[in-house]
Amino acid sequence: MKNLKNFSGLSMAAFAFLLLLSSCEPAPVTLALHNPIYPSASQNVTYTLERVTTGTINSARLFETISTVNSSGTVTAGTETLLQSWTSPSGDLSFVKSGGYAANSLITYRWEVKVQEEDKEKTKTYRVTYAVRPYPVPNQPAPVYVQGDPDDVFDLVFIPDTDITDMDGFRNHCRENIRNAFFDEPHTRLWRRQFNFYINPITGTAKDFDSGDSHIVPSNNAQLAFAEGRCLMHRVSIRDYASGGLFSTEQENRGTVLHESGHALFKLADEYCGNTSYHAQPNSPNLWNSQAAAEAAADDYGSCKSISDVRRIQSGDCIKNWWKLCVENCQMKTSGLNHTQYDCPCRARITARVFELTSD
Amino acid sequence: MLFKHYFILNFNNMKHISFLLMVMLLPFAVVSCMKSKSVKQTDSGVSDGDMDKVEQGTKPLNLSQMPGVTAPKDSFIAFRIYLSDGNMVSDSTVASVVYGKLNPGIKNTEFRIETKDANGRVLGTVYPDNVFSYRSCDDGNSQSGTIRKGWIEVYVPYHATLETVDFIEEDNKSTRQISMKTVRENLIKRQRNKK
Repeated sequence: MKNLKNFSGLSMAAFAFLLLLSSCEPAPVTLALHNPIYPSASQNVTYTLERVTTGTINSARLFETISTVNSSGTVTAGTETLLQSWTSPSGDLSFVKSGGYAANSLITYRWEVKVQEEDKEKTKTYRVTYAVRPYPVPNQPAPVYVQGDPDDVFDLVFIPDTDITDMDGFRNHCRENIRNAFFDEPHTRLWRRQFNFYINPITGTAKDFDSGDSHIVPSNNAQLAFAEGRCLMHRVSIRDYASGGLFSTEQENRGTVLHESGHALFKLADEYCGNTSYHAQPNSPNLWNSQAAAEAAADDYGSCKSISDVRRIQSGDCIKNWWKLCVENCQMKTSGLNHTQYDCPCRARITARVFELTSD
Repeated sequence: MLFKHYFILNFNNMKHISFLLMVMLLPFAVVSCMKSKSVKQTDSGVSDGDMDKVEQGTKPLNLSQMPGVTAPKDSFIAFRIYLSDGNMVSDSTVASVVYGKLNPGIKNTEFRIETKDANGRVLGTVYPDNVFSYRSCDDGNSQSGTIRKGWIEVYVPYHATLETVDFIEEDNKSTRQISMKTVRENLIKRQRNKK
């Protein structure tokens, strides 16, 4: 009996200790996505709640609302219904909508996820709206992953180039740019609810910078003027450039998409040394026009930066009168196939823009 | 008997050792718990309070905000300019009033477009990317410059008394102005013809 008492005391102590440790557990970071990103009528759609970091999900529910939109742009709102619920699920959560949806549908799905954060339960909600292909309103970009009032969040339109022959492949690259660029880079992932994405029905033609020709913008370019970013995605490798609010990129280049979005969405400046334009935003810049100003700013980033991180923008013979604090592989220094990360000053600028949009 | 004695002894030892271990580890657990919270804040520079504030400040999507669905309470003028050696000629033939939102851009000192009435009163200001410039950030092969020749598209807020459009670069150092008289007259003509 005494042994049992000892054993139960020991167990209780161990249990309490484990409980203490588990109470430190942060909530898991989760991503809500659907696939395909812009399905045609009757096509199966898979909804996924992907667990990016470990943590406990106590329960989850997935809802859908099927609305319709006609060619004149009249929306008939639907009512919300429960698709599936989960209790103490492990791993990623997934649901297949067999047979998909009818033409002219606008689908809103909502994940309601109860997660364990430290010692309390928190409810996280994702609400995403997308259109079934083709979006029936003529000359308008199709919403493929939209979450908030366009005035309050960042809007990015993907435009197919005339050189794209495999449109399924293009649409998959659009999804990959969302999942493996915006939702993969840690800071844009942190603000993942602050982005709307669209696909344009009309093509543009990207021109090689060295050709001296301007990009041929899609004929509905004016209809895209609501968006902060317009991304012309092409297949053939060219020397890309940005002008008039539109940037071109090879469709697989996640690094270019995030670098150019740094300019278009967040007004971040280039951090490489070259023949480019430099600027310092009055609110949370990522460049400074004097060493003293950069050193003074170093304290603003807590333990992330110190005066010793101040670097002049220079490379070989190229020297500029601009200074930075970001690391050498910061996303605003690099572009191309793979993305890197935004460093602390760039993150602060992104956060400042998020606040500007939501407080206007 | 011996076995029982050994068992109790061991259990007692285990109990003491476990208790000691727990007391020793407790501060580490608490510190690591606190540390994980502070690291979370420093890494992103964003606190939970910031996240909540943004979440509360973000208006939810309304289905009336889908492209093309928006009620035409917002409108802007879209027109083209032909650039030849820096000279501007507006093309009124393709100018149109577009119903929908115009992104106002991010306020900055590098470039802005101001619309003015006949008395020079500012009617509206937008901050698009500099419409006269281009920039290539292709790795190791960067280049930027000014467009000398070709068509550029310009979007400005609609106003019935719009007379001129000013393009202002670098802290007011350079201003180019274009008259909207012909553009506006042609827009009105086309609208009348539609009726």
